[in-house]
Amino acid sequence: MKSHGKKKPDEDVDTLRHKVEELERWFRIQDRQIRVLERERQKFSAVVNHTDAGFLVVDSSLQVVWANEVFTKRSSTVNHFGALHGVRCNRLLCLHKDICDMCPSAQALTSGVVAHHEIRLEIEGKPHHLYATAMPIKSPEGKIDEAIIMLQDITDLEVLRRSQEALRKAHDELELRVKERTAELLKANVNLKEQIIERKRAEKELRESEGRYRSLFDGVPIGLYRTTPKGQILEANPALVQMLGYPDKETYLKLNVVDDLYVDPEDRKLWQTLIDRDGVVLDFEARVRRRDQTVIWMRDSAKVVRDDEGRVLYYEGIWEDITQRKQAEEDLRQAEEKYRTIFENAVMGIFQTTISGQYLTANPTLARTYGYESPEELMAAVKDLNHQFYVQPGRREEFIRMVDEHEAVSGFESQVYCKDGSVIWISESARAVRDISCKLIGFEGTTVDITERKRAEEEKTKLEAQLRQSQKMQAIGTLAGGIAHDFNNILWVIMGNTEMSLRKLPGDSPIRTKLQEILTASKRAQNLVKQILIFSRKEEQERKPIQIHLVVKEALKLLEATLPSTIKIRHNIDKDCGRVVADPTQIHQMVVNLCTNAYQAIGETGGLLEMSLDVLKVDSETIKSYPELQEGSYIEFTISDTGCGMDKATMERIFEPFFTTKEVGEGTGLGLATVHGFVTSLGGTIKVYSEPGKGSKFQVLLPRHDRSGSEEPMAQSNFRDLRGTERILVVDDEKQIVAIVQDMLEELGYDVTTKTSSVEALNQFSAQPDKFDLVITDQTMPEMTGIELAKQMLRIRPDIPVILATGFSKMITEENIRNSGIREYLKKPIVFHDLENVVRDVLDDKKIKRNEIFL
Amino acid sequence: MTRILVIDDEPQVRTMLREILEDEGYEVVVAVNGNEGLKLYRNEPTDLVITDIIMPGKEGLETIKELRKISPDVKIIAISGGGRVVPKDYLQVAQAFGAQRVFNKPVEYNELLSTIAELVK
Repeated sequence: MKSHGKKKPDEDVDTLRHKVEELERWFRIQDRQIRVLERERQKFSAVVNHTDAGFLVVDSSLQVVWANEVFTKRSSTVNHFGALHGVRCNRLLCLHKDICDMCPSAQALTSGVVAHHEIRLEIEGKPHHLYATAMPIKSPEGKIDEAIIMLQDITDLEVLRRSQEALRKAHDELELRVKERTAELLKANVNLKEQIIERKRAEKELRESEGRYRSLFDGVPIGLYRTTPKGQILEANPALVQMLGYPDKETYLKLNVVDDLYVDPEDRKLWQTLIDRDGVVLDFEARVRRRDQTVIWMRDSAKVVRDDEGRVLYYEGIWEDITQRKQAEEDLRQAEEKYRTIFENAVMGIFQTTISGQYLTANPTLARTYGYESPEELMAAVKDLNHQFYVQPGRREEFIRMVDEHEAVSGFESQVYCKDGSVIWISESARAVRDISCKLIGFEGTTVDITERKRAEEEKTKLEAQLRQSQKMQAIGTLAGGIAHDFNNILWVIMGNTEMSLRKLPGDSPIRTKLQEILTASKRAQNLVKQILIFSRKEEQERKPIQIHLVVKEALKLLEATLPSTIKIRHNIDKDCGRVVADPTQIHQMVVNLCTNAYQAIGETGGLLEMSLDVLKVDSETIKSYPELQEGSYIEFTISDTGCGMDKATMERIFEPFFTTKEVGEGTGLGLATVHGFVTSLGGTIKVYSEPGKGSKFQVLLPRHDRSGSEEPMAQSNFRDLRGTERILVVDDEKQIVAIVQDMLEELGYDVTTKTSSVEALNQFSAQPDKFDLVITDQTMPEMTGIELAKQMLRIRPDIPVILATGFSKMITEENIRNSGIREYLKKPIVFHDLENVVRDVLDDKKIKRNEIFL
Repeated sequence: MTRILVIDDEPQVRTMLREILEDEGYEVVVAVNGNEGLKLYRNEPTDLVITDIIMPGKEGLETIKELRKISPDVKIIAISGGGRVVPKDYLQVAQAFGAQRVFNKPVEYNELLSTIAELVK
């Protein structure tokens, strides 16, 4: 202080004093301001810390700078952070990672406005509704750098507000309802008044008639009612109440017809329309529901009752339970439907006819059976069953008589005409229809087409007959085979010893003739055994396509040579009649057998034997004469004679084995049976036409071999030229056979030389070995066998082709024959077809071989 | 002298054949069935054997087969009285087994003799 006063002490002191005064004043001001501020702070603090609201201050990056106690306390439940400073407010408040669009803090910070926002949060599991108010805070420099956020929990307020709202709404609604109800009540009141009036009116009317009708009403066993147009039941009698299953009338009267009784309300509408229009409804049928919910059919008849002004008072009428009738109707309808179906679709024809022969009823099947399109067509076309229907005259009369006598017939079988004139077999079963006086007036019954059955029966009968025949033959065959062995031994002993005896006897011995007789008889016995064996040897047949005319001709030649000259043979053989597939031996046998028969029928006195071979087409028409055949082309072979003929009984049995009319020794009784068996086994047939004294005619039909459809190797030969001009030497000890073979070969154009002795043949061949292109030799010849002859010839000329004719079978001879250098063999008896082919085969083969050599 | 063995179960056939053949100058031995025939043949072979087919004991087909085994050269004639089923078949088989000739009974007297003559020539 003393140092200051030395220079200008007054001035300094004054200055200092002044300054102190100023400072003191400033301090006072400051002090005062601090006190003011403290007051403010206290006020603020009191507010901030003693309110329910949460406060927090965030900086410009929305990080919490400060928070009041409420917030701090609450926020610990909001998140799990222990400290709040530095936490971004959105994490605390919104629980969002990012700042939301509506963030009030952000708005306050950026726009400097006070922003509000409502936040919904779950606090301790309960939904809370917070109201946030963010206010910007400016720094001393006037820059907004902080925001203070006030959070108010307005959850309770919200609830209150909502309930107030609801209350208000409820109130409004209540008021509305009250208004409506009031209106309804008013309306109901009006209705009620109307009803009361209506009822009173009705009651008045009722009272008037009630007395009169009460007893009737209660007593009738039919439902009686009165109902209002709206369906209210005014009255019902006990019968109706009972009908609908109600315990008493009171319960019933509470019902409404429309709502409680009618199953289909539309029915009631229709009924009401009708009754309002016509004033009356009769026999209206509808379904109604009983109390136990079962549905019954009722029939309603009712009328309208109106007041003086024409207003409908009520309806009154009757209800009748017609359920049973309805059910019966339905049953009837179903039954009718059922019977209609049966009638229409029955597999048998159903008819009703009058005694005069007219149809009353016919079902479609009946019409179809007779070839008509419809029952109508049948009934229109057939007006007189008695005369235009049955094939057999008097059949209808028989039918009528039987029905009249026995009341019914069953399985009455007849042949009848169809629409197209064809004949079918039917079986009728019918009963009599009579009038009151028991007079027969018609028939009703069924018809079945039994044509197929009849055909099958006929077929069966035929097959049975055939079976019997074949069984018989088989039995004979077995028997024959069985005895043949022993029998042949016996025969051989007889014959051998006889021959031996003949050799030993002097030439003039009178016993020789006796021995010759024994030999002759033995030979006949031998032939008989042979016949039987042939007969039983069916399996030995070797069928192939053969030109039948050649075999017939061959047989004919034999016959012409053997039959006596008193018998004239005339023949008409069609060379182009074609082929049959058969065993040529058997064809041959057939011709011989039939001719032998004819010859024997003619006898020694002489007569004419005619033979023909032709083609016969069996078509749908001609098949009627040959029902055992199938339609197609046949070869017809006939043999007729002018002999003694035969009666019907004989004709029926001629194909039976061992049946014979011939004298002992003339025949075996197997010839025709064999022919019959053979012909039928080929699918053909044999017929006989004869009358005593007028001769007989046998007709054989054999299926014609269809060349085009054939796959037989024979088919090839059709395209081959089987003719030739080569020189052929024929050797056989049998003159007749040599002649036949010669004829056949010459017909084919060959140059033929014949020899009946193998030795002579060899001599001729040795002399001119090159004169022949081919040798055909029989195997069995007395001096030298065919094989031996062939060997000799081949020694002279190794390339000479030799054909051996032999009775041996293929299997064995093949090897033997080839070994001996023979080219081919022919099975005996030689038939044309084999001959022409084998000869050509051998000759052509030879040529090929020569060509090979020349090449 | 040419020897012929006759095998047949029928005594009358045996007797007859023996007589016929002896008349022709052959030496004849007879057997009642195949077994006996084969025994005889083994003891002293013959030039020709005539055998029946259907016989009790050893039948003809088997006999022929065995004969062929013993001697490839022996001449054989098979004769059958007709089979109980199909006679021809047996003879076919007989031929397959090696019989030079086969005959159905009753055999033609001359044919038999000429065949024998031819075979034993």
